[in-house]
Amino acid sequence: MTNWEADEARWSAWLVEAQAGNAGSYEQLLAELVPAIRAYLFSRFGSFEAIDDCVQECLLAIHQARHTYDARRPFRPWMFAIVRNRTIDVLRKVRPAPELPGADATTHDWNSEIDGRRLLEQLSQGLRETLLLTKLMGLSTAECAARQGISESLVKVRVHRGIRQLKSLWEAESS
Amino acid sequence: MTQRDDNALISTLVDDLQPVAVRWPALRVGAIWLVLSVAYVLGAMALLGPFREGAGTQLLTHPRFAAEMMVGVLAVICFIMVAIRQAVPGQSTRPLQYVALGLGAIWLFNFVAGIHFPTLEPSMHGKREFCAWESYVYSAPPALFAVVLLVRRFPLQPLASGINAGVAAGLIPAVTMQIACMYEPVHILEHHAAPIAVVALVTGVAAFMVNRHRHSHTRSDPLG
Repeated sequence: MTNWEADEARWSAWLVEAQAGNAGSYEQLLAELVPAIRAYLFSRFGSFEAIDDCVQECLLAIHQARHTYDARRPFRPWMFAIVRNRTIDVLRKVRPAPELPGADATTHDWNSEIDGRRLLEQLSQGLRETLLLTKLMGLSTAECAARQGISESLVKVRVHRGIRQLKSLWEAESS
Repeated sequence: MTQRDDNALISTLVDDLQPVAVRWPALRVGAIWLVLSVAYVLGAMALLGPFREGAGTQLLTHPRFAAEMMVGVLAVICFIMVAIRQAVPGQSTRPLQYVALGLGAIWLFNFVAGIHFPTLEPSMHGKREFCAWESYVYSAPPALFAVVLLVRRFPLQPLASGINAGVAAGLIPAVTMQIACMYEPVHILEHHAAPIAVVALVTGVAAFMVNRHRHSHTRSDPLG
């Protein structure tokens, strides 16, 4: 049995026990899911400010949805469907920081941040850069607009379109 | 957020752990919804007025009429199955969603084509005075029942799930009206099919709002 299969079997068994009220199994399950979810998000977005919020929202959602898990079905599709949905929700709600995150923010080469973020790589350059600046780096709409040389309205449109495309790409990747 | 926050959240969730009853499979839930909803619609429709005289014979003697009824029934089944499956994370729904939309489109297109090439001879025979309003009355309980079933699961897209459930709930009286009310394509489109859109929208919004209300407390205060 590979590690992947072993994790799958163990997580599934723990969640079934948790459905019956076994707190020990549930604690072990959640403790193992935290790094797994973080690694999953990191592989798609790289490191971003809201990653810890995403992980916690995912744990909460898994807690609320635990009664919907069917042991006859694989665990990962169930869990990652929740993770994808909650992450998109968190990204939509991310409030930009009031000021630039660092003194060198305006001169930073933001495109170099894309490396390793395989979901973002699939977006057009404009959408990618806007999402990166506003949702992952925390710049305000005005700062992002100034940095990109576009209007604030266009920034908002790009954020909306970018998240929608990100969601579609992510769903397509998982299916 | 730190490792300590993660541990605090895990402790809170573990403390909150209660045994839960695993939900029934989507197929069983869909079958129960369908049987109860169809029984209610047929019963209520029979109470409020007679079914069109000769409709049974028309079903047997006009294959296209029987086929359009069958397509409508299959569309109901597909839409409610999509809705329920969407309420369980990780269940694939896209192929079935396409089938449901395809069947719904065929069912609807049949009446558009029927304006020029009607399935049955258009007639006022069997007309029910308030069939459009009746359709809303018949759809409401199945739609409400579906919303309850959906939010008791964990719909990741409650609006979409609700809309699918609403289409199924609206389709039941629309299909049944084909044997209970007058047969005339324009009348069917305006008075039997159009309410489906309203029921679908209202059910979608209801599912969204109820689901948000159900999960709002825990999500807004994870450690509280």
